[in-house]
Amino acid sequence: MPVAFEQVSFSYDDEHVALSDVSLVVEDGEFLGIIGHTGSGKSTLVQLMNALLVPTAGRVLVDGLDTRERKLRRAVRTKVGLAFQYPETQLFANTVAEDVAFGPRNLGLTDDEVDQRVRAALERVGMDDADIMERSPFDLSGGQQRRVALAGILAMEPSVLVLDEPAAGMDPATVDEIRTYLRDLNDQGLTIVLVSHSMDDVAELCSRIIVLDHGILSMEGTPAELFTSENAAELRRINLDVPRATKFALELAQRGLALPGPILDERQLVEALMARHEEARGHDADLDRA
Amino acid sequence: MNDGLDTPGSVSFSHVTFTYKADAPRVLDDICLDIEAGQFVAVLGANGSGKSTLAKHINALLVPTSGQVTVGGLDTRDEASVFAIREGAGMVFQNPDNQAVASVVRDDVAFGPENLGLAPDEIRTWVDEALSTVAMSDRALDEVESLSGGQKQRIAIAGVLAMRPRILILDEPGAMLDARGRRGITRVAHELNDAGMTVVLITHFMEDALGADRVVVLEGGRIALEGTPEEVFTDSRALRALRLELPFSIQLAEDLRARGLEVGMGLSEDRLEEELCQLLSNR
Repeated sequence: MPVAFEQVSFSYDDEHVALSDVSLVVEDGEFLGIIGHTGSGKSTLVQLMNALLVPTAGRVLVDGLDTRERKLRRAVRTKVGLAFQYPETQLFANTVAEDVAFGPRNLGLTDDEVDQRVRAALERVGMDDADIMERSPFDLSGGQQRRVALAGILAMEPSVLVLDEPAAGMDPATVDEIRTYLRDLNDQGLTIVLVSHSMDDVAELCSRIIVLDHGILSMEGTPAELFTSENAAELRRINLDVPRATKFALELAQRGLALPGPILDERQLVEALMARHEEARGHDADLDRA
Repeated sequence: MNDGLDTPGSVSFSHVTFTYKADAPRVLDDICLDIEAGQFVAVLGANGSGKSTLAKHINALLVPTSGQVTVGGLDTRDEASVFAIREGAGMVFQNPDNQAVASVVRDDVAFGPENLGLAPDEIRTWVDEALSTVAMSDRALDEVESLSGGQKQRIAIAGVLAMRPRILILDEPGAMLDARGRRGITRVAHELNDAGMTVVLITHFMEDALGADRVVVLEGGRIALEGTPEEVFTDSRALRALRLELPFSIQLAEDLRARGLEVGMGLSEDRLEEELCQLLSNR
């Protein structure tokens, strides 16, 4: 049980409650998605996960460590790695290897251990090429820079990786690569918490999704449970969308062509349409025979 | 020069090359591109293809290393023209959080016209009009910080509109927004274009480019593909090679056709839905 929220509330000032009475357990090895409109409390929630913020009421436990305890905060931050939006803006060192080594070096590890971690972290994001490691991070493409920034977090060997919009501003091919390595990291056992505006991404990647609305945990479920025609109206009310394929299927249903669900991605939509096509052809053949 | 390319609202790139440093690789490489007043042009391309650099040439934030950019007939390298060019070509950037200059919406939008030295009641008129155009009149007295990302981008657009430009340049305005926020921005851009404004939209989202008059795809600082959305988006192999994807409805139509369901290669989701309903509804 890496992260547990117990009736957590948080306010930045007396007037505005950013998060209200949230109870939530992030399970070991899960890929949890967090969605919500701007200002819904997503960013507050993730900052509470690694003690950048501490609850105004309730408590957050990370591997049993209470984040309110000042002397435990360093341990908490080692366990929960947080990648902010546009993390590549925080790159600073002369070489890729040095940049990734910065965190582990501060842990007081030996040079060998640091080297090992740097190599392993870069390998996990597909950036362990010897030539790349010695280059300046500023000579890399935007997508490569983002991977290096992520490697810097992985080099701390966190048990939970929290990502806020990791694909923002990236071209479609890079977004695809980011999805692939996040899935690989999760397959290797890393617990991942993903904050995203892309319903397609959370539907494809996450095993469970929670919805925040005005600081309240308002909905929760697997992608198939959440993105249903029944929930679509409620999601729209709180300014959220459904995945593109789901939206397309809902619009077809409104026009009188209802397909059996769940339809969360383009592949499922194609299969459902082809099944319907076969049915219609069978129906035509029956009519011909009659 | 062609007819019309010195009229306000037009842009012309003639053999434009740009490098940030003398020995650095060319970010733009021999770009020739004419945009007529009133056109809606979508510029696509992978990260690092030169899209933003191209956009910054239109309002003289950057000037060519060689070649020439003219905006409404004015050469961007001519320092005496720079103020007129920036007044006529306004730019909105990717990040909604670092474009605001004041804490209250109305003051933020007024920043530009105030710097033009207009009279206070004139400023108020221009600001009110701009806010009304982006459907944010009722938020005029709110804190910018209380707005959503999509609303902040609409305020950034209003800030540009309040200068009454002829050209609106949007540099990935939806990168940090959800699909709904993005659709709102695209809708505003089309309304402005319908009213005669030239729009240059830089985007990674293929859906945003479907309604454009013209699509330009950059690769390595060169124009790799160019044409109407119909022309560009039916070349799926070329698009994939350029690290781009097909718009959702076109990808879907392509996959259905590959499986033997003969739908048209139409562009809009609306048309595809209609066609599927006709083909597949119970008869």
